[in-house]
Amino acid sequence: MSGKSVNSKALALADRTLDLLKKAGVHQALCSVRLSRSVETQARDGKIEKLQEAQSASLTVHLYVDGRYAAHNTSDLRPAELQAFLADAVALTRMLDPDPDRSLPEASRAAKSTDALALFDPAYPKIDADTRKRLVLEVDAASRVDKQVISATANFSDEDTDWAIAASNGTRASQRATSYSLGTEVTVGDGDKRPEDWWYVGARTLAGLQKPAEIGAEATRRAIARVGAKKDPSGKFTLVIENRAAGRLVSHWLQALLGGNLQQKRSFLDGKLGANIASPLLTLRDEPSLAVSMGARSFDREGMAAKPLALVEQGVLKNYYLDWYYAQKLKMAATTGSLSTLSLPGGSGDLAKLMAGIDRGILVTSFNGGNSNSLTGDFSLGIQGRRIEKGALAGPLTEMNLTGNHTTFWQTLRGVGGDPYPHSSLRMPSLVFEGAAVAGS
Amino acid sequence: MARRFDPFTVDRRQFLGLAAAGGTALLAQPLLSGQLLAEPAPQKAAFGIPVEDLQAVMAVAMARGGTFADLYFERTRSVSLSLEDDKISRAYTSSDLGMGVRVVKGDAVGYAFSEVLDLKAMKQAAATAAAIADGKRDGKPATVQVAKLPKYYDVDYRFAAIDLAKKKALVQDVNGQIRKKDARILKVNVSYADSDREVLILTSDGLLAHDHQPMMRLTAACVAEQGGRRETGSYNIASRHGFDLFDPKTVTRLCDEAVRRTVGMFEAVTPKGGEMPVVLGAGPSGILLHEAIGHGMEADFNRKNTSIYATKIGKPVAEKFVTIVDDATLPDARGSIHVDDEGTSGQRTVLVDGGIMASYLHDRISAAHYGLKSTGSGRRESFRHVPMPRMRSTYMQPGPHRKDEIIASVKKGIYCESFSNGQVNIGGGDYTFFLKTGYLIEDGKLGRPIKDVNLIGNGPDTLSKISMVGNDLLIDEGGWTCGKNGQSVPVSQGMPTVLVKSLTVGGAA
Repeated sequence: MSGKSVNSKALALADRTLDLLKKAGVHQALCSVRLSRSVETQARDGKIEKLQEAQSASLTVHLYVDGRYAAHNTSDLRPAELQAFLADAVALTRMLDPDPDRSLPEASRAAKSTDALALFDPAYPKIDADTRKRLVLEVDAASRVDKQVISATANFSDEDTDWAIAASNGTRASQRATSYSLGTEVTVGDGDKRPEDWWYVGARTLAGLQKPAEIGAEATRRAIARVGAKKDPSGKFTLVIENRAAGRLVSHWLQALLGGNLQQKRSFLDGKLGANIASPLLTLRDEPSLAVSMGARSFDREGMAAKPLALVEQGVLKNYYLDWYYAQKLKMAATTGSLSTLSLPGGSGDLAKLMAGIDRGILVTSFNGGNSNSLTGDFSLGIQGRRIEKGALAGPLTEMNLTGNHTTFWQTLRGVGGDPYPHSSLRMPSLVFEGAAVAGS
Repeated sequence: MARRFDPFTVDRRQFLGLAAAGGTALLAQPLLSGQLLAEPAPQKAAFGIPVEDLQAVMAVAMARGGTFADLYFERTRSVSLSLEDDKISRAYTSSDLGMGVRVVKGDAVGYAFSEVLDLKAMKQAAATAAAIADGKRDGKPATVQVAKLPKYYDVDYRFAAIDLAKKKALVQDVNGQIRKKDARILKVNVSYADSDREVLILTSDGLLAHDHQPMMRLTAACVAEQGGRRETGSYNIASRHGFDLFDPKTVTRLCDEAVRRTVGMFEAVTPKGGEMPVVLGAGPSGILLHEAIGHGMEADFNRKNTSIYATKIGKPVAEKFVTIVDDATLPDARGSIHVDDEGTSGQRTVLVDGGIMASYLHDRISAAHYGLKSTGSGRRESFRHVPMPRMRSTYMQPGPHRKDEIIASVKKGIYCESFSNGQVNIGGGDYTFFLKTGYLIEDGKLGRPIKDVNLIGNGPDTLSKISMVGNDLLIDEGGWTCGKNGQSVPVSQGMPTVLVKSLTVGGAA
């Protein structure tokens, strides 16, 4: 990683836009600009099937005019068109209802940084079409070694994003970031059925990606493990939720932490700050400065300087996700309105260790649909995975539903792995829950 | 609420979601579909681009021997207004413009887009896309002819031309009505959104098609409290009809439904989980078709042999009274299109005909693979995306049974009224859909309300277990959005009352 700062075209454009707004009489505004270049390369069954290249610009202005607020987005950056767009935007904003809680964050929160986290991979400019093709074809070849494989589609995408925010409260921040994704989806034969599974990895640097051969083999191993899956009778089970799937479960729970849901009375965690809301094994932190994570950032969408946030400490609720607006409405201190990187520290051991001693349980390898109600905490999710018998993996399961309520479910957390999933901004370890209600046949 | 998309946590599967669901009668009137009639091109096409410039860009796209290419121009303008705590203090507008170039060589695709519509930038995009092929052009450029499109929706103005004050008044009216309806209502959220999308498509066959695709949606969501218990519910209406859809009667119906679906939940229970008979109510239950069969019938999965339906064409899959269609021609439906995003006319496709698997949903690539004609199912999210086979409005034709006899036939089971989202595994066939509101059925009668449980089944297995089909087809008026490989497109769905003999319902152990 290069620690050097890169001139941000996005920041220059945000500065210019803010000037244009000032000339138009708008003195409270935030401008966010994203300029990106991305390439996607796809291979299927030994051949390149898709090549896609894209350069994209997106400019959003958040306007605070006479106590009124609106946001406006455009991709058309030609000077005359941009000027006309801003004039329309200001006129529309003036027509809304005034709201005393609408304002930019106070100046002390404004981010002033350029590439504070060094998220740009110096190897990025050297990546060419041949490198991209070689990577997907290697993944593809490794995924099709087994005769049970019907088809596999491997994908490599790389992106270079220049993101900047300038605002009238003094915010002036930018970050240039690269990201890569490499993986494949594999389909195998199983009578009339064609079970599928996938393995995708993400990284900020090309060197940080898992080896293509390992990726292809992992996806195929997972797809073959799905062969013969069926449902078991309904019952209460000890569940081990694999790290890859755990992010999905926690993402539903996180909805109840959002300022908008709290203020609009749609959260089961309303009024629970300081209360015990989960097993003491649950500690959750938002960690924006973890540079290797896909969620890394030095400022948030409102231009506030990012800082670590303790959400839950040993089962006790410590903080919510509060953006500036809902913090004003709730008369609380703003934290940040959105997740960066979520971590759950304190666990140890791998899946085998977590399964040891479980007489009869289920390993959940992925969820299938389902949803959650942030007001009541009720959730119900389709699951697939493997049976656990006497501490060891047994046959594959599918077509079953896990149903519970977040207020009681997280109290049954009785094991946490030391295996945070590195390919997501939700870096969840594998989790063990006791006595979960699973419906099947 | 803001949802962060994280490609590493979202399963790379197909999903369907919406703001809320509900239904009213919209008659299915299948119109004749067929080849597009064409007339000679004028000097300038839509977007003010000279036709000779379009031809010049097309020549670059085809220069390296692609078998087919298309240019896709798009301008989309949209506005949304949100009300909470009795104020409209949030609005969002968006203005998007650009063009994409796709070059196809066999099953392989090259794609690039430009957000700048000058000739140099467009030719650059065409050259990038053309790199999927590595030969020389064979054949001559086709003469450009303008397609005459059918009319399944017809708004002769742009939503931007409607005074914002009228849109505000509509949103405030919904809030006011809901506030008056029930003292238990604690919070009301109302949102209005409209968009005008204009597209221009030129294919390497010389077909030039221009369409204006209007869309709007009105959503009301409530939180209510009774005796310390809080519940939430919502309703929305989405359509390609003009702004006058929201007449007083329709607005009042939307308010009534939003309130009923909220305060009705105070009595709701969680059912005991397990396998049981499931009656799918008319309208939103079309989500079952979308997940259990629709995605699996998209021909890209079948030409790759990755769908559970890959060998099922011509084979019986359901009872004789089961006919399932996917239709671009329903008047004003969110899923309707005059022309798909690769220049084929909007049309009606029968997926299952009297219990026999009849046709996949084809785009041009899969149609060429199978030696068939495209079913007009090639759709894309925007000019930044490649088209692929997608659904439009998916529904089951009415059957021989009455709603009351279907419910009466169930000793112990559930009745489903509304849903929020669903998902499917294309090859394994397992699909899910999430029930927002419904009822227990006990001894053939509706009992206590139920909510927030997931239903799960396997596509072909479920089709074979559809044992009764009602005569009461309803196309849902809710604003459904279908996701596939990272692209979202608007769709509709519908269903008569249907009995599935057995599905696994989530619930208490």
